[in-house]
Amino acid sequence: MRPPGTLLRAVAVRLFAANTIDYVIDPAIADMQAEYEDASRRGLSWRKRWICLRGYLSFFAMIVAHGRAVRAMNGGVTRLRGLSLDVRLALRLLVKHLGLTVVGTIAMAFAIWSGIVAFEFYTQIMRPALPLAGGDRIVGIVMVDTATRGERAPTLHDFVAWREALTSVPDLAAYRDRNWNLIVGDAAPEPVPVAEISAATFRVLRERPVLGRPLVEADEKPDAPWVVVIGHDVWQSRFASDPNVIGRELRLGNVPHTIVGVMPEGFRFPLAHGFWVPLRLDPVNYPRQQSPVLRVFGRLAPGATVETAQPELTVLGVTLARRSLGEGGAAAASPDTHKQLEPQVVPYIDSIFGGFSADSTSEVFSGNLLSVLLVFLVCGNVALLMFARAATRENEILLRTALGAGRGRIMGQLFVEALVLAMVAALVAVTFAQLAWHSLFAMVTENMFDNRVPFWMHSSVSPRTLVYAALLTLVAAAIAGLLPGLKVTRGIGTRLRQSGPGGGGLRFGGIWTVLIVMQVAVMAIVPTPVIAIYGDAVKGARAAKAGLVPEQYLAATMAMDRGKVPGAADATFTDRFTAATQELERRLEAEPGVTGVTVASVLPLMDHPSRQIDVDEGRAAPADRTVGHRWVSSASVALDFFDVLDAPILSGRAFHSGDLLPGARTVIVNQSFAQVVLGGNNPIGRRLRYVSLTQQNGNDPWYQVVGVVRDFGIDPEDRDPRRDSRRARVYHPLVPGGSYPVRMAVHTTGDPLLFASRLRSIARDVEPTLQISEIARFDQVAAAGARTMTLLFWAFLALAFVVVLLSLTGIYSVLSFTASQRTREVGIRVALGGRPGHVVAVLFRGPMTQIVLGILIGLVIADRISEGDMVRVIAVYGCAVVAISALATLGPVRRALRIQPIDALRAE
Amino acid sequence: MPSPHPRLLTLSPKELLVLELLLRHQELYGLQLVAASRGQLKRGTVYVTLGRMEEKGYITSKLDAPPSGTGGMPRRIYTVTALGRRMFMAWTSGAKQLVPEWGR
Repeated sequence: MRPPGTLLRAVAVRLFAANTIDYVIDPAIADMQAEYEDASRRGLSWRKRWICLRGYLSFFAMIVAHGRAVRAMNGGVTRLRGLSLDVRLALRLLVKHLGLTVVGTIAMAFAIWSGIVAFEFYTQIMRPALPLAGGDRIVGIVMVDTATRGERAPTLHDFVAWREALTSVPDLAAYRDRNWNLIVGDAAPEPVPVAEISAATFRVLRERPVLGRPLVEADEKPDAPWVVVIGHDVWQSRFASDPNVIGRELRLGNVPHTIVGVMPEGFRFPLAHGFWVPLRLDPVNYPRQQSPVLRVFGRLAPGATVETAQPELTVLGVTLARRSLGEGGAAAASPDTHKQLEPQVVPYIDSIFGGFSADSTSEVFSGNLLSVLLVFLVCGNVALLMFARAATRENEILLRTALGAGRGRIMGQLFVEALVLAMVAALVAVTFAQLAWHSLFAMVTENMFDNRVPFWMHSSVSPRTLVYAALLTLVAAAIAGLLPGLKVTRGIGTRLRQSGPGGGGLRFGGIWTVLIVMQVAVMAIVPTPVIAIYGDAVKGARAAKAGLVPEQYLAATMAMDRGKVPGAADATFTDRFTAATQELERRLEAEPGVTGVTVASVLPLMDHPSRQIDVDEGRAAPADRTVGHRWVSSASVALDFFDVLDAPILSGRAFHSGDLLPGARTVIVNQSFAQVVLGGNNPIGRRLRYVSLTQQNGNDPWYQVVGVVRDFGIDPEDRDPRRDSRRARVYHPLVPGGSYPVRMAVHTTGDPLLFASRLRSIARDVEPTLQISEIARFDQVAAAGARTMTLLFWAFLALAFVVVLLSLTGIYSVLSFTASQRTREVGIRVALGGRPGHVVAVLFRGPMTQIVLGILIGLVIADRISEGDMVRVIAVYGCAVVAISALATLGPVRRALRIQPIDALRAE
Repeated sequence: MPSPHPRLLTLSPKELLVLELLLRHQELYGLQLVAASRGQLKRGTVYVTLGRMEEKGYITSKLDAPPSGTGGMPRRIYTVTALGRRMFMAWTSGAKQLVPEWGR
């Protein structure tokens, strides 16, 4: 990696004389690098970033200081050798018009920043390039339901049939994702993702291990010894990069595996895996109906493409469907369903995500487009400011024209000025985009991949995106520089002939007027979503505290290795899982410092599944006419759930063991259910049933309400009808083994997180294949849910800030421009005895009309898109906008009133 | 930075501070001067000041050996010249005479 400041030095060498480089620039960069190295040695990543940022900012200060110093030494002549006149002028203007520099930088940086983040999202998540040899040739094969366009995973039988017949994808492999406990030596077991994968994979991907051998076909035989190929990270972290690791043993679940190979660094195919074991599935052992589900991938034959491979696969699919109908297999059991399934060749990433429909792809594409439009909009605004600045320099421009500068030369100068500004903005944008991408990356990997980092993703902004940022910078500079340039230089010859010494031939046109009205309107609209998102975030935080002491509870998710491996108990999986969880509960309850342990299908503060219900004929709250049924959220909870969470039963009774009997069908509801669904009536004894969205046959069983529990994990002040389904809760008794995976809540007397390692250790003793994951304190569970909302809030807040800033500076520049262009008129009016108030009114009537019009349009739209309870907020904000706009007019008004008649007339 | 033309010897408050710090610490890097000045010297301007002082002949500098293994650039370390020392002494003694409070 290049040390920081290398690029900066390369730029400086182009700008400054050799002496300046040796004695000013190089010492500064060398000191920065030394400071950076020191931070690196101490592992201070934030400090490193800060050193770089500060170094870059200091560089600009140095340019200015150097310019002043040289000018002072040379009696006003600057010797910035190699630096073109336009760049020097642009740099000076950055310092001279500091207000415009700050506003323009913030606005352009925000636009470029949003473009970078959207592009990174598109290139890393939607359409990434696989970091494999010939990665674009790797394809996946999926089954598509032609009726619903939904995807289904292929089966073992499909895979075998394709492997034998497909010529367009001659190298075909398959895998299935497993999650087993890893045990190395005496270390505590830890669930890890394992790929049960065809030996052909390593041939398809053209990847070789750095140590040992890959999996081979012989490993797939049923009687072959259990072997595993491990990833580079695993080799480093678990085996301390032992060069003699080949032949050592590790346990996956309860089966010892011998390590036969170590893959190179960065290889984590198929998603984020570090362990590869042979896929030992023989179709002979499985009836077609029970054929295991696999993910299938392969490499396209030379010359073949996804489009050319598809017809062959379609024909093969039809042939196989017919054959299976003849065999009387699964297709014969449901021929209509099978007929609808069609195999499709898709890019590998599409076969992984599956859920990225054309709609979502186009949404992200639209997001990219929107960010480009934002660049246009924002830069249009900056162009307005640049135009106002150019208008104040009209004399200079006219003089340059008189001295022979052509229109292109003047426009070139304005473009360079905008380019320098845009480059400063791009520097800021890239720095902040890096930070934002870190957050987004963490969010995406957490929500989409269970905190695993797919092998094609990386947490830093890619070089390709930096090129895109450079393009956006050029576009931004073109808009902000060339638009004012065109406007300023139009008819410049005529103005040169006609204008007096004061210039003053420039006027704002209709486009600028529309732009000002629009941006003031946007300024009025933009806080609406910000306030709404903030409201949601506040409600989430309030819910975390309501009726619970979240800091006292530890949440964990329990699952178990499902693999059918030698040595597994003969009991069914559910029985084994239930026995293990019950034993774990018993052991935990006996631990000192633990006051209670309970399980549920979902814990408070997590997203509960929502379902539609019917209530019996008794009195109920009026139903939403547009829906017809009420929505509630539901959970299955252990009998002691409410005791452990300290949530008292307010009326009726708690669950008891009789509720677990088949046909008991009892439920407990919360206070909000009684309020929202039953209009405050007593729920005890009432019945409810779930309504299927697709089948309303009325045969669904009725459940009787036997108790009402206090609300907890719900915002007590939330009265928004849209969130009724989240507030109204129905609790079912959890039959042992009735939920997989199951969530556990442990109530401790001290900090629950200190108990996490003990929990893992006990779980290992109880059952080595038991997987404990997502260990967090209750308040952390709530925080994870709020992270997306927080990121969205900050993004909108930044947008609101930029819009408001641009609008205010736009208003300010328009009024200043108006005042400066009508100097003579003001002088005459004052000389003729015009009152100050009247003069100001005449002067600013036009711009103020635009502002008021913009505010009115914005507030009307904001009122339309906001919820009912925001009307007051919008009204208050409207007044604030008017007040802020008035503040922006203060400077120009004062300047206008200071104009003396004699000065105004002397200008002629 | 050798000066191409003879110049009038002047001493700005910042230059005086640099001389004072260098006389106190013998030799310092640019960033060490910033740190020792407790905010009176800025990162963005200190190197320009040092360059100018070297041009005037108040200070001299030499390059350290390049740091090994990092690919970084060699640092420049500064010391006071005899002229710089005399200039500092002249200014401070002159100041003590002109402003008696400074001499106490």
